[in-house]
Amino acid sequence: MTKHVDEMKIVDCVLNRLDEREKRQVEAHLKTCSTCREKWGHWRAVLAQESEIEPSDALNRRMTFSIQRKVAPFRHTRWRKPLFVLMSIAAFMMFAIGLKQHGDVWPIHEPDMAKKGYVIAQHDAVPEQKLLLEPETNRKPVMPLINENISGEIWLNTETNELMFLADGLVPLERNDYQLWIVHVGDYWNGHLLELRDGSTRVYYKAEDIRSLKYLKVSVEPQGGSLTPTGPEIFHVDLIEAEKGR
Amino acid sequence: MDEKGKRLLQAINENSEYAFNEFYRMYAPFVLKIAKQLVSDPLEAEDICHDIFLEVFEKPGEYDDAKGTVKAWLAVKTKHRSIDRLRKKKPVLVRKLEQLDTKEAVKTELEVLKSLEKNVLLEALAHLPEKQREVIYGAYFENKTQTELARTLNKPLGTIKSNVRYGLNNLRKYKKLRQWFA
Repeated sequence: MTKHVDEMKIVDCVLNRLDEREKRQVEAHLKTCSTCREKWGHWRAVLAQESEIEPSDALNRRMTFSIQRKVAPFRHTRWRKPLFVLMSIAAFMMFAIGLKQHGDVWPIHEPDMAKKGYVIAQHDAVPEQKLLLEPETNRKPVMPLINENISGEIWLNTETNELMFLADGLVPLERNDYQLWIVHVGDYWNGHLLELRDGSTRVYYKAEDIRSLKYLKVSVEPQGGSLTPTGPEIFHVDLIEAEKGR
Repeated sequence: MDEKGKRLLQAINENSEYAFNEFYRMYAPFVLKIAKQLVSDPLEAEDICHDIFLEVFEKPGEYDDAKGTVKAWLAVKTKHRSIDRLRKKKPVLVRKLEQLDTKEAVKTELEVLKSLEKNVLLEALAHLPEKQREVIYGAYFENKTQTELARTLNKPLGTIKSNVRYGLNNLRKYKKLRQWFA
């Protein structure tokens, strides 16, 4: 008796995903093996339906919840308002010290940055993301400065000049906003308010020369945002180092 | 799409939640389609989909690209998980069988029905109206010759022939069905 074909190959055969040689082998086997032929018939019937089914919002939420519990089982239960207030005060003090050290060197905003050509988008406005699928894309987890319950990642591709910033676990603020600052070498910079969705943010950025990015940071700012950073920093990512670390 | 899928699995293996979200977005509709087809119940299908993707998140390294594409991997995983669900939840199996009201419909599901233990299938069949039970039962055996049946069931060919004759004409009780599969 000939050995049966692996069921995955049978599915690929039905999906027409085999190369010619493999396809001929599987088809030859199907002619002589009723067991595999039955499996093939089954998959042909199951996969014949054209339309796929979009998951419901309830399933999407459940999935997100399950994954977050796997990643950080205590992320939700450990969060306490007094703790947040204490950490915010501590972070603000750290920021105040940092600001003093930085003094006058904070980069000057260049309003005509748009003329140089860049795109920024958040959440649903993010374009179809080939970025994270390109082999040249460099992914780097980023650590929050003040709260271990927050996590983040940066995906950077210097070939396509694209960047994606993702963060989870951000707590909505009543009287403040989170603001993202993207700073290029030469201290050209952009500030954008972050839109939060269930504590997550997702920002896409494309510039003419992504290699000229120097760093990216997120800070807490008064509602509506600031022209220059004024509040405590949540993230600070050195993108030159990130690129070196490839 | 498959190269994307592989790359996302690699990133999930490095604990990227974002890669997981993309992977889920890309493949959940495909998994849902198969699960719904196999269990014939949209809520159960979503349950299965959830479990499949949780497993992907926990064990992305289980995928072996030498065996086939990411889609094929997910399809086979979904099938196994769906059969497991039918095996463990009798009402789900009964509801599925209730929807198999023609021989053609049964034939497309034979692969799944045959994956279930005989007693599980029998118990579920017992909940169906007699006429429908006959349809499913008839289709279940249609592709087997009586000689094959005799060999499979380890009974004399004469007994099988008379059982088939009587059975299909006179399937009235669950006990009778059980005798057939015994």
